Parts: sequence; structure tokens; C-alpha cells
Amino acid sequence: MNIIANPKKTAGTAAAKSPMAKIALTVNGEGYEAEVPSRTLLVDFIRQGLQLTGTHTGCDDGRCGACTVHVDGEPTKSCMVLAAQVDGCSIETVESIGTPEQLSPLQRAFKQHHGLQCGYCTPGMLMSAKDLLKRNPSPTEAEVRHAIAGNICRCTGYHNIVEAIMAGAAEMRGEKVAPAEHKHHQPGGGKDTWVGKRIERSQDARLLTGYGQYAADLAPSNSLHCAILRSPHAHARIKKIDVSKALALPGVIDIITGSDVKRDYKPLPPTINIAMRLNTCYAIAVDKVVYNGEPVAAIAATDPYIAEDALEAIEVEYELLKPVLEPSDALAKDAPLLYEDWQDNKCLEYRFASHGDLRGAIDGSAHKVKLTVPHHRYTAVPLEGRVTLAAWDRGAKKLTVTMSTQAVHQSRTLLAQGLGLPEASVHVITKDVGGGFGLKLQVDGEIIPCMLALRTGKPVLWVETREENLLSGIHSRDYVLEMEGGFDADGRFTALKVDIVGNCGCDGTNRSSGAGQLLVGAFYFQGNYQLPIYETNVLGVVTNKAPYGAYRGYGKDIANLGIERFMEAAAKQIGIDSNELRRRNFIEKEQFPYEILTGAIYDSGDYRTILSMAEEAMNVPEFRTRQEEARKEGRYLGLGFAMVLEPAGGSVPNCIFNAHETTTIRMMPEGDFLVLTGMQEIGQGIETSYAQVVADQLKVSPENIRIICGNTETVPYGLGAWSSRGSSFGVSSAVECAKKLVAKLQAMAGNMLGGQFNDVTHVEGGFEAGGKKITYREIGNGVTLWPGPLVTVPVGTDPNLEATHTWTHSKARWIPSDVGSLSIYTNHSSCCYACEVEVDVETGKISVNRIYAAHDSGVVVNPMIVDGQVHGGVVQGIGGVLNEELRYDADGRLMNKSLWTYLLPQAPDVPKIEVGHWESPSPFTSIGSKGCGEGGPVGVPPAVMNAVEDALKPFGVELSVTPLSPERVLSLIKKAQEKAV
Amino acid sequence: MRPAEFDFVRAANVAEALGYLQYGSPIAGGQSLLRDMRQRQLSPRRLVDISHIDELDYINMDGDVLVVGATTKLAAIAASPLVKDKCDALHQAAGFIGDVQIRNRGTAAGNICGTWSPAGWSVDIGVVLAASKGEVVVRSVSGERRIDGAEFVAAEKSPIEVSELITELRFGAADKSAYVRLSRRTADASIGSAAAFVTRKSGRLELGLALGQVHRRIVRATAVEAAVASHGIDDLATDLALAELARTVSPPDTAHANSEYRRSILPVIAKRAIRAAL
Repeated sequence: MNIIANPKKTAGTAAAKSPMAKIALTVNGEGYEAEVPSRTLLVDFIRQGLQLTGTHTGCDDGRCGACTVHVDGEPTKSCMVLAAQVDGCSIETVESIGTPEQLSPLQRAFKQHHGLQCGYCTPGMLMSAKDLLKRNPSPTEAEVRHAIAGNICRCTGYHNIVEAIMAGAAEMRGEKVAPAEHKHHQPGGGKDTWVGKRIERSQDARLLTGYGQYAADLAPSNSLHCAILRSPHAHARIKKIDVSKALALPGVIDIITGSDVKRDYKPLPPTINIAMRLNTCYAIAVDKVVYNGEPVAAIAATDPYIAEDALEAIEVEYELLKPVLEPSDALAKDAPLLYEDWQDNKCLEYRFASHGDLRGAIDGSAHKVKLTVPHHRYTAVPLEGRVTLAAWDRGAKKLTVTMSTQAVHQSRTLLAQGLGLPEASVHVITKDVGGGFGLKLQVDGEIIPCMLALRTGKPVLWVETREENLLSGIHSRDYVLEMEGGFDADGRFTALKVDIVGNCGCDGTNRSSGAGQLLVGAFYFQGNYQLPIYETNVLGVVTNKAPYGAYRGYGKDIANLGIERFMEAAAKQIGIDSNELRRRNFIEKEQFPYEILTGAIYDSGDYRTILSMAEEAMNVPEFRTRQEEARKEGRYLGLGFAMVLEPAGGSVPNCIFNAHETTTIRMMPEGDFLVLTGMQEIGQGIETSYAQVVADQLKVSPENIRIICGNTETVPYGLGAWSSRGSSFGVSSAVECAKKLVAKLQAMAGNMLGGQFNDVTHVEGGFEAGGKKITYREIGNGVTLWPGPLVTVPVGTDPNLEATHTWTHSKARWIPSDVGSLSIYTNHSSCCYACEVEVDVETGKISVNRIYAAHDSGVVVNPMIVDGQVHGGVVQGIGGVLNEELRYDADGRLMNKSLWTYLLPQAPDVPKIEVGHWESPSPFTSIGSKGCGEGGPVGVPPAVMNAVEDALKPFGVELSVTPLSPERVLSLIKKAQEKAV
Repeated sequence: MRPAEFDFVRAANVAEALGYLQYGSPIAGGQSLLRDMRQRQLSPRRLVDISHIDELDYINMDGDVLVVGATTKLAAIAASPLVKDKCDALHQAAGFIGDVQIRNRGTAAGNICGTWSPAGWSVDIGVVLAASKGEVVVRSVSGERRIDGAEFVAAEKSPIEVSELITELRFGAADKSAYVRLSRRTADASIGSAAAFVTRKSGRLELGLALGQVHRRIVRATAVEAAVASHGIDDLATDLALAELARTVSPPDTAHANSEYRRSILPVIAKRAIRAAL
């Protein structure tokens, strides 16, 4: 039966008018016949038509490979093929190669080798790998890397994917694969405890077989599709918007513009305010646009194709205003104002000066060093962009929002504030997240489909395009440091001064939260070193670029690049080895806990040891010989080191990055456990590592524990995944909560065992007293139903099977000292990155041949997961320093709006990543664990830059620009050569 | 974005395709075309799917000329022992384009047309075609014609008429050929490439040299060819010819590499290609 209620506004009539194509094809062995609009992409036919949602989309233009399927046995990007083109063909998707219960050997190898994190690229990766092994059952590592060159992974750094494919191939050849040797330094851990074991992840079987539940996979079939019209201009007044033609298109249900938003909803609420100037802005521009990509109107239509047709039918008249793109333009006397109620374009001014005479100290130093460090703009690019599915229940007056976010609770608060709804009427759900890296920590575009859902009463799905993601999905970095410091005759720091100017784009407080990273940078220029006097001045400036947000590092990258480049420049000037200079200035391991000038308390570390580990791994004397030989052949090798100081577990006042985390652990009457955490699984593996941590406390197997997160109506208010806070806040709240629950169950056990024991012992799976054992199941059953609490629970104990604990960071200090110092991070992990490069001096092209990380993040819960975090971070660091760059033209239009022009690292272009571990347990967390994961983008860029400078030493090249693209490197070499002549 | 609406027909053979083409644009692998269509920079009213025309799927020799049918996939070209043996530059170029998935659908004929598409992402096959002094065979209902390969890929506008279809590419012979390509990443648009075809005839060296992505079109470097033939690769005359070429080209300025860079690496990649083909 086909009933059309309002013929003008149904998809049926639109479809009837569209040119159609009849297709017959086989998918995973099942025959299908269908009539589809001719323009239907194969990927849409598979996902929407057949509901096979294991095939993903990540780029919209054939670059990322997440949509890879086999067409007649050959890997094909299904986003670049029309369904009509494969009429008569046989298609295979990831759903064909295994089930969660029965993984294929290749899938099993991915699980065993941790070859996936968020899992979003995984189905496409498997389809490419499967094809390779069919063609070539014994591939070399290079062949594997080339076979997956068309599949982008943002999480793993490819290292474990390559290992998994090699291991899967060996198994398929029938070879016995010896378990990999892991040189993991783990004093005491992993033998008698779950903590320290390389446990396979619990979600992987699901993610490997197409059973992932990313937000777009969950859209009901009656969903409307949201498309957002974005400004083509960087700075313009909106004179007129005419949506009538678009609204008249069959299938278009609703269009919302800025005036509707201003009338019916609230401005975007702030996410952070630490001495910052807040703007007033709405999710859709009202009267004026301030960046290329700002939403101007949004459409809800019955079909994504129709929604995009409607984008083209909206007429907007703009009056162009002069764009300001760089801080120097924005600070000019007659600069146009972004926000006309402001006096200037400054959004943040901050100054910190320690005690001591800075000027006198620098002027009196034996060595005075100055360095300018500029850094380009780049961004996170999680393979799954932002996705929001909003549904408004008119009867219940409740908005349910399924979204891809790192922070469900802050999202709920911000959505409620922005929509003007009671917060209890908003329910945010997050299932699988296809990568975050800081990009999914605000409510900007995400609120638009919610508005459309409220207006239409229908579920509305917004899947941002990659172009939208690059235009508006927040940018990061983009700053200039002016550094000046002194060293005494022995090479010891006397003083340091750093001025930071950050280009915050149009917004670093409301549309996103990036302004704070300039402050984090300012607080941490001391790095791993002792420093007597320090001063910093921070200036954040708004410009007509995209909003400024978080990306893996959040200012730690700024501090680290600055100080590690500064040490290199200083060593050169003083005339000593840069690692020797580092050693002379290290904070020594006996000095921890160590309070730095800005107030942060470093919990633990052993910087000498990790630097030595890195030097040994790279075999410096052998390298120098090789370097010399190579130079004779006109080949230029370089070796570079960089220390990393990685603050983790942010505890920041007045913002969404706050200082608490809550866990509830609930025992089932049957004796197994639910752990409800406000932390968020985004591929970093908390589902597994928290189970390990809690299992040790409860004395059960991790298999008896299920971790629940990502649901504001299920888990306690928590703050989610950012700042590598899982190992401090998440783990510690879970541990303390488990201890509380054990104490409670212990009291019950004592009571149930007869009540007269002083000494109830906690044993595997339950308790013992007086030679008798009682299991968790017996306690659970006894307290709940058989017989019930009145005879099993002692007086003074709550008659339930759960405990809740909120963990806060005891060393945080929000009250500034007399000089304004604060303590706002829990842990300080450390690392030393070493990197070998080769530079082709005729073309400027850099190859990174080797990377080694000596990594110290305290007690490691799951070494396999931590290694994966290091690998992924390293490759993001390589991408950021060599290739990734967001460029604007003179009119303020973004030049790279696709993954064809925004250059993410590919498997063949990055090396294997070697990781060595050292453990300096943190005294500030429950089990000594510390955050990790941001170190790669923080420490790899200076290591690569130091290596490239080493390679180009014969030319005297100083790297004064980033990224190190061939054109820049070649131009620096040529300039240095001209100077030499 | 997704494409605007269009009609779609599939051609079973060349005759059928030529009939349909009067009303539509051909699509073979179509991955470059679909990028433009998804951006809505191109919105053809009708697509004629030629990818299933088996009679145009072949690689063989016509005398000493290597001929490749228009629907032959890049993956097949890259994997062909005949291509590797007779025209190594083509073997290498086909293997460089995009990635495994893209080569599984993309065709050599489609690749040489990419130069006029707004996405304009890859010109590798055209560089080889020009250096080999090859030809493009084009058919319409009124017959067949051959277009000089170097002229084809150097043309400012597509030399193919609306009703015409490329049916075959013909690559000239050489003793040895090589293709050198610079790119930011492995699977990426080139930022400069060069193909060199070298033949020795009774002690005399003949060179075919073409370059891509160093000018707004593919250039065949005839003056350099002559200089190398007369003076050899290490002679000042060759350097001067390369410098003159670098001075006169108008290189593209893109997010991958600016025009100054492309100009400065032109002599480098040209020499690397020639050396590899010697």
C-alpha cells in the first residue's frame, strides 16, 4: 500500500520524476533487483538501500577507502561508483567475511594485533587486505603498505594494521606464528594482575564484522536528511536570503535560516571562559558571516540527494566585507571588526611573570638565544566526521540526540542551553565513534539538526561532508612564538621569555574551545627542564578563519615545539650537542614531585633514562658514520631528538574541561558487574582497559565486567574523553569506586556468612571467613531476591549492590599564587622521540625512515593499547609537520576542502614505529597510571624538524617555516645556498 | 555532495555507444568524472556507460606499437608483462595512479581526458603517450581518426567532438623507457613527472621526453630531446635547453606545490627520467 498524504512534500513524487535505473546485482551472495534513481551511488545503495552499514564513508570523493567493497572480486571505492554502473555485478562487503562469533583468520589477526582503534576504516581496510592476500599470499611489508595506500587510517599509524595483515597471511599459509616478543618494561605488572596484560579488546569482533554502531548507522528509515548551506565568503553581510525555490522542491520539508534561529533559540553557549572575551553567535549566521564555511541556512529533506539539490536553489545576496586573516591584519589600527560590539579583535590577553629579574638574567647570560617559531594551521580529521541524529518526541517533550561526540554530558548541557530546553528533556546517546582527537568536543553544527527535529517533529540526520568538516570542523595550531632566553657558561638555563600570538580564527570559545590551548602552551614552556625565571605573554586574536578548537595536544604541542626547537637552536649557538644541553637542564628523577614556575606539579619521571634509551636505540655513533658515507654520495641523512612533556588529565576551571569524573559500579544479582562511566569510548580502548582495572579490584575476570558509557540517562554526569584523562580521572574513579563496592559487599558477605567474623577475606570471585566462602552470585541473589535484604544486609549498609565514586584531582590548584601560578593538570607523562630522515636536496622531499619512542606514562594498564596510542600519535605528528596544512587564499577561502588536497599520511609513507617503555608510576593516581596518547603530535614535529636540520647541516639550513613541504624545504635549501655564495 | 540528476544508459558495444553519445557523455571508470559531478562542477544530462564494452578491453602489439583499448583498466596495464616488456614507462605510470581501488576501475583513456576536467587530478598516462610519440584513436559514426598523442594532451581544449569516442591508445616503441614521478605521498597527484623514451639507431641516440604538472598542459620537450640527441645528457647544451624550458612553462600553483617549485624541479625530474631510460 502506498498512501501519499501530501503529494507535494513526499519523496515518492520526487522519486517518480527522477531518472531511474533498473539494476540487478548480487550482494554477499544474495540476489537483488531494484529500481533506483540513476544518480544513486553504490555506497548509498549498500548502506541505505540494503542497510549494510559496515561499509562507511569518510571523504565523499574516493580518497579515504572506508567505503571499499569488492566488485566482481576487485576492491572498489563504492562512493565513486554509481549503482547503475555495477548492474549485473557481484558485490562483496565486509559483512561477507566473518561474523562476531566466527572471525576470519584475517579479522582474528586484526584483533590479536590491535589493528584497529575506532574501527571506522577497518571494513575498507579488510576488503583491501583480503584482496591482497588473494593475489599475493606472501606479501612483503612494503607490498602490504602499498596495497592499503588507498585506505586512510587516522588512529593506528598503520603499524599494527601491517603487522596484522602479515600475521593473517602467515596463518592463512598454514604457518605457525610465534607470538610477537614485546620488550615491555613492566616492573611487577601483568603477572598476577590484569593490569599490565595485553588483553584483546572487547569491541573488536563487532567492529571487524560490520556490526559497529556509528551514529549514521542508527538512523531510522523515516529520517529526514539535513544539509547545511555554508558561506562561500570569509567576511560578508547577508543582505537577503530567498529559500522559496528550495522549499518548493518536492521532498524538501523545512528550511531554517539565521533569523529563525535568533527568534526561536539561544546563542551558542560558551564552552570555555578563562579571562577570554566571548562573542555572541548563533548556530546559523544572523546578518553577517565571519568565516568561509559558516552556516547560512539548513535544509531538512526526505532524501540526502534532494537536500543537496535544495542547497543549490537557495539564493543568498551578500555584501562583501574585507577579510582579516592574520593577527597582524586583525590588530592593525583600522582593521575591520569581526564582532562589531567589540573594541578590537583581541579575544584573549594573558601575562605570567615569575619572581626574578628576567631582563637582567638574560642580559647577564653567557649565551643569549632568540628564536621565532611559527606554526601553520591544521586539524584532526577523524575518519568519521561529525554526525548527529536528532529526534523530538512531541508527546513526551523529549529530544533524543544520537551523536558522534567525545563528551555526551557537556553536549547535553550545551544543547539544552542553546535550544532553551530543560536539560532533563535532552537525552544524548553516543555509541561507536569513528575517531575524535579533540574535534568532537563542542556543539556547533550539531545543534542544527536538533532545531530541524524540533520544527518538523521527525528524526533528522546530519552527516557532515568532508568539505564541511575541513571548512568548519574546527582548526588548530596557527600561532607564532617569539622566544628569548639565556644560558650560563655551563649551559644551564638562566631565564626564558615567550610571547605567543595565536590566530583563533573566528571563535575559540563558543563555536569551539580552542582559545584555551594558548594558555596551556604558555604554562608549559618549561618542558622537562629546570628554569629559574620565566615570563610569557599570550595574545589570542580573532580572524576570518574557521573556529579554533582542540586537536590532540591542546597547547602542549605549542610548548613542546617551542622549547625543543629552542634547545636545538641554543645547543648550536653554544656549540655543544643538543642532548648534552638537555641533560644539563633536566629536572632530575629525585626531584619529583616537582612544581614548575607556573604552578604545575610534575608527578614523576626519569628524563635521563628515556633520553639514553632513545640514543641507544638509534645507535648514534653508527648513524654518524652512515651519515658521513651517505653525504659523499650526495644523500643527506639526519638524526633528531625531542623530549616530550605531556601534561594529561586536564582539570580546568570555568569550562567543559573540568576536574571530576564519576563511576558507578553495579553488581548484578547474578554476580557479574556493570561499570557505568562518564568517560567515553572513542577507539582508545577504555572498554577493555577499565575492565582490567576493575577486575583487579573485584578479583574477577574482565569478562565478568561490562563497561557502559555514552548515554546521559544511564551513566553518571562525567566529562568524557579528552586530555588523555582516561588513565587518571577515568581509571582512578573506577578503582576508588570498586574499592567502595568491595567494602560494601564485604560487609554483606560477613553478615551472610554468620556475622561474627572480624576478618572477612576478599578472594577470587567473592569472600571467605571462618573457612567458608561466599560468591558474588550468592551475595547478589541473597541481597536482592533469595531471601532479600532484610536478613542479608547488616544494619548501617545500604541495601543495594552498587557504589558510586567521584574522583577529583587532589593536586589541582585553582587559586592563583601571588605571581598567578596554577595547577591544572593531573599527570605529566614524558617521552623521548628519535627520528631518522633522508632529504632529497634536489626536490626537497623528506622521507622519515625510522622513529623510536622511549615512552613513560607511569603504570601501563594495557601495553597493547598504549603502544597503539603511541603509533597513532606518531603518524599524526609526521602528517602535521610534513604535509597537513589548511591554506586560505587572499580572500579568505579555504584552499583544501577535500582529502585530495588536505594530505593525510598513507601507509607506504610512514615507517615502522619502535616503542620502548619506562615506567615512573604517578603518586597522584590510584594505580600510578598516567595519561598518554597526545605525545606523538606533541613531540614528533620537533624531532622531525631537528632531524631535517641535521640532514641539511652542510647547507646551513634553519627551518623557519612549517609544514616541511617539498616546496618549502627546496626553497630553504636554495636560499641557504645563495647565502653561502 | 552527491551528483545532480542525469539519465543513464549502458552501451553493450562500440556501435551502441556511438549512437548514445550524441546525447550524452561517456563514463568508463568515471572516478574523476564523479568527483566533479559530486562537487556539481559538472552536471551531464546523460551518462553513457562504456565500461562494459569488452571489445575495447585489450593490450597487444600492432607491429612495434603497443596498443591499449579504451576500457582496459589501469590495474591490468600495470600488471601486464607485455607492457612491462615493451613500454616500462607505461607500466610504471599506470602503477602510480591513485591506489589499488582506483586502478581497478580507472582506464588509460579516461586518464588522458582527466586533464580537462575541473578535478584534473592525474595526467600520468598522457605524459607517457606524448613521450612515446603515440597516438589516440577516436571513432564516431562517420569513421575513425588518429590524433597525435603529444598534440592531444597539449591541447587547451579537448580535441574530441561530442559524438566521438576514444577507442584506443597507441604507444610508440623504444629500446628503453622510464617514468619518474614526484608526489607528496604515494597515492597522490603528481607534482611533476617526466617520461623518457630512448632508442639507439646506428650509434645515434633518439629521445622522446615529455613532462607533466610543470605546465598547465603536458609538454613534449623537443628542444631538450634534440640537445640530448646531439650532445648527450651531461652537456651544457642540455642544461641550457632544460633551463629554457623551465623558463617558458606556466606551471600550476596548487595546494600540493606552487609554480616556483614545479619550475625548479623540471630539470631534475627530466634528467632523472632520461638517465633511467639510457
